[in-house]
Amino acid sequence: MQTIEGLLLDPDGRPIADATLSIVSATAPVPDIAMMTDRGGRFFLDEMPEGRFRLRVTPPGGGGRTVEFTVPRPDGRLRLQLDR
Amino acid sequence: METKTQKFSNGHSVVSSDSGDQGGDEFGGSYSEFGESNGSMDESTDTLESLGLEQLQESGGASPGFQPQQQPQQQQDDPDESYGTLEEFHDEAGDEDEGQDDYGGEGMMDDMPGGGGGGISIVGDQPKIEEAYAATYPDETTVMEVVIGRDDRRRVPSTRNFPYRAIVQLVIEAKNGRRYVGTGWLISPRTVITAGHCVYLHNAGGWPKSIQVSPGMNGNSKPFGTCRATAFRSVKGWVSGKQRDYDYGAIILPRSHPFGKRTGTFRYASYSNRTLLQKYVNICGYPGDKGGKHQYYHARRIARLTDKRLSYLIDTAGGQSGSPIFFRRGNNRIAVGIHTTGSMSGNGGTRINASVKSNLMRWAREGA
Repeated sequence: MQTIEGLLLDPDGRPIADATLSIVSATAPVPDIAMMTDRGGRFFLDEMPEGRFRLRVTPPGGGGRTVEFTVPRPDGRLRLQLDR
Repeated sequence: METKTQKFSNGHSVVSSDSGDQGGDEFGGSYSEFGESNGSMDESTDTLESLGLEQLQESGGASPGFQPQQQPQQQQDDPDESYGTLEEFHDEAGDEDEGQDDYGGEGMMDDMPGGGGGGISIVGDQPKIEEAYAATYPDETTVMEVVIGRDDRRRVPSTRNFPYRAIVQLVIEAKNGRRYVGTGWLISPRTVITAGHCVYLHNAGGWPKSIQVSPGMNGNSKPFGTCRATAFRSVKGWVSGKQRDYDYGAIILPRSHPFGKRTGTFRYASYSNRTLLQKYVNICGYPGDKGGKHQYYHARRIARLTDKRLSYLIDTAGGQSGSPIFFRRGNNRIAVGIHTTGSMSGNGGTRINASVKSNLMRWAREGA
């Protein structure tokens, strides 16, 4: 199990607050709870099992994006940046 | 927040956050170990009827005999009145007719407005991670879905109708400041049932600082208002044992916000394996991948079960933790489980067995 500390940035590198993040695919069981980013764009994925995951990121203004990532992560971090 | 525990007899022993201003913190009597008996329920339910309006409409069929929506009725004062006959919570407000226009025939299948566009990148070492993953799991070629296969979830267009108005959006503020989105459902005027991990977050400080509860939330609309709750319940098996089998809990709303009186409430029951495996069940909640502010539902049969868990191929996503797993019988909605988990072998939830039902009854009385 690994807790992932994440950061969500806009295309200009600014943090995005109040985005909703939700696991939509998983190779291992995960709690079906969604996470929200704080004012600094940070979020946490608690106690993630080893596996491969697809994460849906929905900024407060809409325009959802999906990203895939794997756990464990070498540094326990997941830094995401929206494309223009 | 302190934790109060009620006689540790088994994993279902009640554990409570200790907030003094919400009422309902006082437990009467003591808890003994519950039997795990199922099957004492009335099992004469017609299969077609148990499909419910939701499933019938999903399949494009009509559901004859349903009457237009009526206004919510006042809850009965004593929610225990009918336990003796059906072994389930018997809620007069839940007996109201639900209109056939609950879904209005819209059957929305699309993503949320603005969803799906653009891209996103992992900054850093993703290619290396992907290579390492492939090396570690050479046979892992597919990503199993929480949304299983095609996404068949449908949006609930009007949450003012029962039972959707009795389903609540939760914004959970953990003690350490982190925020999460989950789902709950009302079983009495001030009692919301949800997943244990929505009311006790092991990696975020335990009991939350507060949970914002919004019945029938629909986008930016909160048709029944919202309130901040600080009184929570779960069981030893979750709080101390962190066992998925005991992943359930409750929120006791402030006395100033008896939402269930206006929304109506779910019934709940413990059924036999045979009965559960015959039923189509619905899950309705607030998936985060759709923004976490709109209700979506999906219905399928229960695929597998144990004494404590239900497993199904019903599509869900993060944010739907705590959603009711329910079916329709007549004009009632009967919850048989609490959704908790996305899993590679099917999504799953906590089964309402006799022990869980007893705790739900207890919490319902607290919030009556």
